[in-house]
Amino acid sequence: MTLLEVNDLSIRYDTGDAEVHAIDGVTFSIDRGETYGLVGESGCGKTTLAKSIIHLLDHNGFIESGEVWFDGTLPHWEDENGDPRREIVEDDRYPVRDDGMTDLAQLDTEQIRDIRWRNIALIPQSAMNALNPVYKVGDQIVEAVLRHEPHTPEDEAHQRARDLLERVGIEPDRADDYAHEYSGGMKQRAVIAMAMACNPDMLIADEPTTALDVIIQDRILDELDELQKEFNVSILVVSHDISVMAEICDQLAVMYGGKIMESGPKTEVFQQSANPYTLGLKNSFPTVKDEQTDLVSIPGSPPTLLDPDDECRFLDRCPFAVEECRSSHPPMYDVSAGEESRRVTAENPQIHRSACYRVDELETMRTEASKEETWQATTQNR
Amino acid sequence: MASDDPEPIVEVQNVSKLFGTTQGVTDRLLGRDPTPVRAVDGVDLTINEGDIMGIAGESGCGKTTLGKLLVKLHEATHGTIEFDGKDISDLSKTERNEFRQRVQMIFQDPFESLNPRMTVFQSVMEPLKINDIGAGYQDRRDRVKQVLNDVGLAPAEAYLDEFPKELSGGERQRVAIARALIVNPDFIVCDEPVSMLDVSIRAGVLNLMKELQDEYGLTYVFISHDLSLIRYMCDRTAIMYLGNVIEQGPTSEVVMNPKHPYTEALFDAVPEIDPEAERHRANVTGEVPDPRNPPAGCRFHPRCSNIIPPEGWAGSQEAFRRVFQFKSRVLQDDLDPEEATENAASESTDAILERGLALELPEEHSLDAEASRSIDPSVLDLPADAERTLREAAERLLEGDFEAAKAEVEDEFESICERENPAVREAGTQVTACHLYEEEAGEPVAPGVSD
Repeated sequence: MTLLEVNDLSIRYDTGDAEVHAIDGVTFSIDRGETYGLVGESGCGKTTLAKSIIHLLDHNGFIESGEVWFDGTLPHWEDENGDPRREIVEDDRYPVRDDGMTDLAQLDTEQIRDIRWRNIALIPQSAMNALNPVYKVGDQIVEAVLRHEPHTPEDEAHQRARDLLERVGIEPDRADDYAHEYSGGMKQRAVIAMAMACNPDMLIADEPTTALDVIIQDRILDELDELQKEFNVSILVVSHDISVMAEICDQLAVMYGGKIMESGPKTEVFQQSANPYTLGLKNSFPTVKDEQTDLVSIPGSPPTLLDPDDECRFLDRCPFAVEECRSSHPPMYDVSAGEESRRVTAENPQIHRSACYRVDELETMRTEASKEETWQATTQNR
Repeated sequence: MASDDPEPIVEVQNVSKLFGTTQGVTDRLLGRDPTPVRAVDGVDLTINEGDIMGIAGESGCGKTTLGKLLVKLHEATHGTIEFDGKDISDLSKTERNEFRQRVQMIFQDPFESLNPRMTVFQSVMEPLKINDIGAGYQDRRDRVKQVLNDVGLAPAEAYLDEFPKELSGGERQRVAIARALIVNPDFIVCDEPVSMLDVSIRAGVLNLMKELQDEYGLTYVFISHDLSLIRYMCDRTAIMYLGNVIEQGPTSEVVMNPKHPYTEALFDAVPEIDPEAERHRANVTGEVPDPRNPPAGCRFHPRCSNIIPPEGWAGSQEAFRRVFQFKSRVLQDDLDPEEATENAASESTDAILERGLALELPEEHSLDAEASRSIDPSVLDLPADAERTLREAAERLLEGDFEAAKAEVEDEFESICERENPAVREAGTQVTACHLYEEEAGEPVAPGVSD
């Protein structure tokens, strides 16, 4: 069942003279209980995309167009089952669809606050610094609980904070400690416990393990996995680390220059990669235990996204570029049709899709992309 | 790329670096002795000419400090470092100048290591000026152009007058490499040289470093927390933990056939990009202890999966590992009787045993019936006298007499791992500091140790 449906979303940052097209016409959807990964290099828009869902953009960022349908609604629009009331759904003034999904993009600042944490919680990028140093860790969890469930008795909220901490492997008594008394791994766990405080349907984990050492990272990933099984929560993970993604995601979207270049079930994206960018990325990523091959980098550097031209965003660095790529950025094509040398636009955002005009020449591209000369040729042409 | 006849270029002997050895005001007022951080502690390391030596470990293990010791950015507190046969702490002025030219360092963050007010040309030329190399402006300018071309910033003319802010991360790091190379060094310490760069750019810088090694005949030390980069780059690798080098050897052997339990855990923890790869989770407990007050004996023993039972231990190693954990928890006041007995179904001493013996491990390494920080002691083959001691201690805890509880366990369950800091010994092609390996033989000797 679909929990989140993002349709043709575009986000801009206003820099005064020009606009940064941080996200451009992105469509994807997340099912309940699923882990969805957004992977890409710095500046590709992955964090912007994740944060825009709950309106946490910087002050100059705004949603230009598009919809963010979420299965869940504001508390005062709900009936006793938690579904939106009939009159709300039927009234056109409310951004609620017939199937009960709410368009988060249309909510105002006050309204989105009821969604944050209660329905969608964020595990921020620098979780190490996300805790308030002058409040006890337990009290910070209690604060979140009381904000969203004001009728909870205070001692019950405190008990809940302790249970949550214990659930993520921290001694309940440590709830009375301050953040500086926690180690790095414990802070990360505490932030995860905090995100789970109101039993959300979805977690947004922004680089959840980036600042952590491998052994701690290993345990946090294990922890997220268990939480997901236990509470059936969906997780939207944002990371630049492909190997972390390979491990935890069910579905994956590879982003570049504000666009999704390739997306689909994890194994298909990794094993039958169809987009030149994904193929290049795989060439440049070392493995620890597999056979060692020479790494090949993608020449050039990512685009700036300041009022970009209408051509394919990867054009400048792509060894497979043809004339058509200059016309406009390619739509998402169905990869399984591409395997049969057909070019069909993908309607379902959950299937394996690739934004590339040459999707019908997969075999050639894959063979060529595995050769080092292919990528070097691009450098010399420029 | 190792030469056939390895010749050591750097020899590190028993080097330690202590920080915070001076007394602060509060220490002086309270009459306390300073407790220094032992960032690097008794490290022996040999780096052969033409090698890429990797230094890996978690943050705080001392790898960057060791790197800085090698280029004389820190002075060693104890021990000697010899470069090309000469002790670097005892150089004359001319020797020191020569050393500064032959040894270079590349820093982690190219966004910070370049002066924003100097053009690429000025930045790269500066080392020539300092070392008084080159005959006049034109010669130096030619050398700068040459080295910029070598590091892939071609055509050099296009980059000479750029400021760092006009360059991308990959280009900046190439400028930093050019700065190191222009004085024609023999030995370069690279401290996380690509960790600030994006994946698609990183590979280019790494390959460049490999190419330049051949071209300029360089020896590298490559410091990184990223084990897959170490694997890709290095001929030999040293793994550090809390200031000690605990294992070193040929990289592929260290990765694929690790000897030290910490090395094994470290590599197990790295996620694999192949979604179908079978991966084990790291079999360690707890977190890295405070380097001001490191554990006695082997520094890894409180977290180690292979801790060695004393002679005459009748149970299994797994049982001993848990008993040892129980003991440590009692000694560190980490076992709270109230908390253990709260919500517990069983008798209170049992409840304490159930809590105290349980390890927090990933599912694949924990025993059956070991879940949510509690274990049924009957699944462990605890020797009867051991169980008696544990119960005594648990009784004392319940009575609130923590000192008596400590006295119960203090002299029991002694492992060689907590008594003696293991000397470095050979194990296969590696050398490692672990009691599992006999001083001369390479086979595990402890009873009950599984792979």
